[in-house]
Amino acid sequence: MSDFVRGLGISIRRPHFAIAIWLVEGALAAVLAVPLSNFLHAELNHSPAGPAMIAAPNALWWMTARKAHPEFLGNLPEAAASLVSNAGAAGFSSFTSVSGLGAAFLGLGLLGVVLHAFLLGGILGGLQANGKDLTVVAREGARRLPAFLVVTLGAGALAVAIYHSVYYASGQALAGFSANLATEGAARLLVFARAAALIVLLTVVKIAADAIRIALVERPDLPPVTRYLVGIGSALGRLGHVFATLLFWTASTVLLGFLWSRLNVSSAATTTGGVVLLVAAQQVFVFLRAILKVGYYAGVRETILRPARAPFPPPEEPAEALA
Amino acid sequence: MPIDDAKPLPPVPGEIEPSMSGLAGRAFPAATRSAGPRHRSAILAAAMIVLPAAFALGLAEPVASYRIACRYDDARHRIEGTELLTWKNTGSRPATSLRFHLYLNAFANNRSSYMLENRRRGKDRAVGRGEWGGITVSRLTAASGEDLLPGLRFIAPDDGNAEDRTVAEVALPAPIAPGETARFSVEFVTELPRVIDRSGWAGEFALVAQWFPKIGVFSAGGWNCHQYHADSEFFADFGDYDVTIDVPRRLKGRLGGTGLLLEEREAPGDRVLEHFRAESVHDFAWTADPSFLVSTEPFHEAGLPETSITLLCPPEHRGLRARYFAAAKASLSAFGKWYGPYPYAALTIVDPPPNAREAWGMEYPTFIAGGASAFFPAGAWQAPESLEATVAHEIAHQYFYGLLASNEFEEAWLDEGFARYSEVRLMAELKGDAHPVIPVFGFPVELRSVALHPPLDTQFRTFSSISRDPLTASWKFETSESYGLVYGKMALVLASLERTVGRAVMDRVLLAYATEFRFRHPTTADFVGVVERITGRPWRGYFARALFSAGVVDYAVARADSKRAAPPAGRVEVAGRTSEVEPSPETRGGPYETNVVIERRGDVPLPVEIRLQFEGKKTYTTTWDGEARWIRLHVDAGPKLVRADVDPDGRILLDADRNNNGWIVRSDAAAANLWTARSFFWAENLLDLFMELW
Repeated sequence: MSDFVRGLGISIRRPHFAIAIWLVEGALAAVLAVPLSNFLHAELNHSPAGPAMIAAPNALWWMTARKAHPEFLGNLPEAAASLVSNAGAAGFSSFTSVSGLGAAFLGLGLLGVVLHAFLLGGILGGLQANGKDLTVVAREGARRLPAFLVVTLGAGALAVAIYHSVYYASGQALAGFSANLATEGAARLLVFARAAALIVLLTVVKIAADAIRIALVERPDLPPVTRYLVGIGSALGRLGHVFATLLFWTASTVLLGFLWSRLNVSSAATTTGGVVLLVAAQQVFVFLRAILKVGYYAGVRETILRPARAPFPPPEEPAEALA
Repeated sequence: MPIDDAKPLPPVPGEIEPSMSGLAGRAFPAATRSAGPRHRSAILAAAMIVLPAAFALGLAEPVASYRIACRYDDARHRIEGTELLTWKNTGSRPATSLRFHLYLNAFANNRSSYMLENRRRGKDRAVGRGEWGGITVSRLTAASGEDLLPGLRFIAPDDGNAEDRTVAEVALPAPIAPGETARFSVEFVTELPRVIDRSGWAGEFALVAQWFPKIGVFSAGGWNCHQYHADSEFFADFGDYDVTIDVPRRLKGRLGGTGLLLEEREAPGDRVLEHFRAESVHDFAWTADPSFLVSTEPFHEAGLPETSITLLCPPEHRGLRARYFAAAKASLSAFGKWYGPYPYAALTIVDPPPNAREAWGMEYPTFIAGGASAFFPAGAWQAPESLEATVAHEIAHQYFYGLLASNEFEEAWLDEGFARYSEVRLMAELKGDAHPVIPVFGFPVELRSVALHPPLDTQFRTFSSISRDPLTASWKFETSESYGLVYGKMALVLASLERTVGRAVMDRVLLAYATEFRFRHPTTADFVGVVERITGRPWRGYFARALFSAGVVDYAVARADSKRAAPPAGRVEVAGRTSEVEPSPETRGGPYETNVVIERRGDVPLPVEIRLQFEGKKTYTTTWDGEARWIRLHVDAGPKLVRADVDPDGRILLDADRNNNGWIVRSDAAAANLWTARSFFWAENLLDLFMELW
């Protein structure tokens, strides 16, 4: 936990990293805001359902709207749900009926993947360069984008392959066996085991990818392939600490979400002024979540680079080789 | 185990007491056995107070009665049996042949109509080696002893599929005249399939349904004996069933089925004879599993007859027993009041194990298959997996299938639609709002913050059923999804009717229909006739359009505005002189000119109410026949319009888009702003999650 706390301290002392994340996520979501707002105003402003949607939101309104306007989202919610269904999703074919804002969301997600690589390059590069403003994030992110994009896309491809070959394929292979299990408990245990295997493997990929990213930044002196190996080696060498940092980040983010749901801030947004306050509170939440995220990356970096147990020594001439 | 076909059927236990209406006495054979005369009279009197008409028509005249003796080989999933069929020709012309259902031949191979229909709809049924089933008639003799088997041939009256063997016909040596009763002895061998649909085995579990040669229905139009189809259920005449099943001893006490278990008797070879009897039913099904937990609870309620409820469930579902019994009792109570007392002494519920899901949620006379997950939340009653809703639905079928034995092949909406209506109405009364469920890695997560308000959510649940497929015979629907119309569309029509005539009148309609047509084969026309008689209004046109039309119903307020009435301008005549008047600015306090446009966006015109609400709480209500595509309501000068609604009380639940049924003149962006903010926030968080995954 100490590494995560240390990383959190760095994140709080250098909030420009979290601000960068907040700005990027806000900018991406803003693309959806206008068409979404137009749709909602057209559907609700004169509708008797409008006041009810504030006091006691009824799922029927939303379901009817989706049936009446199938082009609005397409089957995005169903396709997303199929990913965590018992059987799992066969692949991209599940998303071929996504349309409208649903398709836009997927497009923004893909753009977000690229921007995420950019942000991580900026954050990890900025931590190394000890920069104190957003320009450092932009500069370091741009410098490291190609290398980080390769890691991101590689990790993504690996994650998709793991999902397909571990979760989905096992579901297909065991479908007959599962259907013949005479007890519900056994059938659920089987799904749980498949899901647990998936989560463990995805966690390993995540840890390895983050360690490689850190190695790419911290060891520019090494040949490219060696940096990858060093990154993986460093993650394996301090696996427990890195995993603990990941766990604390996940737990703290979930706790933040839980607190948000308990506070039920949305219930106060019954007037225009209330909506303004709601938006402000939401953005504070997003910013705090970004602080935790930067805390994780800074914490992992601290874990891996801590001199006493570092699996590799810091370079003699940091960053200059890349300058 | 042959039976003596010369031996008459034994008298019905506890039957007909001279001092009572014989019909009422037979209605409660077990209650009369278990209760003393005084108690019995009290039950019957109370029942008659609740529902005097229920007993006027009495029980069914036995048309097709069976005495069956069979031996169950659980290792081979095989049943060898003999049945003595006593059949009465209730038609108006002589019967020159007999037609039998041999339903389990639907699972004999992949050439049956059932299998082909599923395949053509993209629902291939995977059947492994040793998992096929079937039924073979090995002997068929008339009471005279004449062997009829050589004349047996398979026919396919619905689709002409020469390879379908689910209906057989045999020519009779002599016609059976109208009113005449004949007896036949049939020997058969049934091999249960691995549960593919409704019937079969899964491990040690077996649900044995549609398992014996069963005669069709002979009426004025001849034989009504349909094949087993992908999406259809059954149709049969009432009769009495006396069934003795020879099973291994380890199944002793682990059986349940239609009617009453009268006797369990030891038999040679470490076996047990289970003797069941059921009167005035039209089918017999049973279930067995050596691991079943068997529990029994009585249902008591003042004014309703006592019913013994037996539940057979897997050991891991012991925690669900209380929910099963509570749901069954609530259903017997409610339906007993709505549709008349449940007339049988017993109700058996089986909870099939998860490897027999295809047997879940099915009705047989006095016997239903539930189906539940121990993890599925009780609050999500609108989901098909809901334990309570399934029990309510299948017990509703005890009326709309069991007692009102409509032709499920040809008018499936009469059983499924009424059962769905009953289920949703009861569950809404019992539980109120439902909540959606999202399965996450197989574990159902209930979204308790999202409400599905009944009864409008009835519309949501069946929304997808509002397709452009017309209602038709069960096997003629394009897909299984469009077959869902028989559930959803009829339920919506009934709920709409209830909202139009009021709950009290609707209850009278349902009670009259359910009691007058008890132990008969009612049709849609019968029901519409009851509706017209009770309400005193013609309803045929409504049903023709709402139920049988292939179109969609959708009314909308397209526009509603109210602005100051324009003062005169231009060349106008004032005091006999024509002069040009300059347009003057609007005067404060003047009247408003109102325009409202109502559109019929769907294909189906139904009479609909329109309500305009003006300032000062003044309202104007009118009815539009809906024939035109749109109608404009115009007020030259009057108070300012506040809102306009079409179908303001939500009576037409068939309306495909109720979101457009109203228009508030003064725009209010609060809801849209709130949901924009929320959606923006969700988008930020979901995008973050999406980005972090890589």
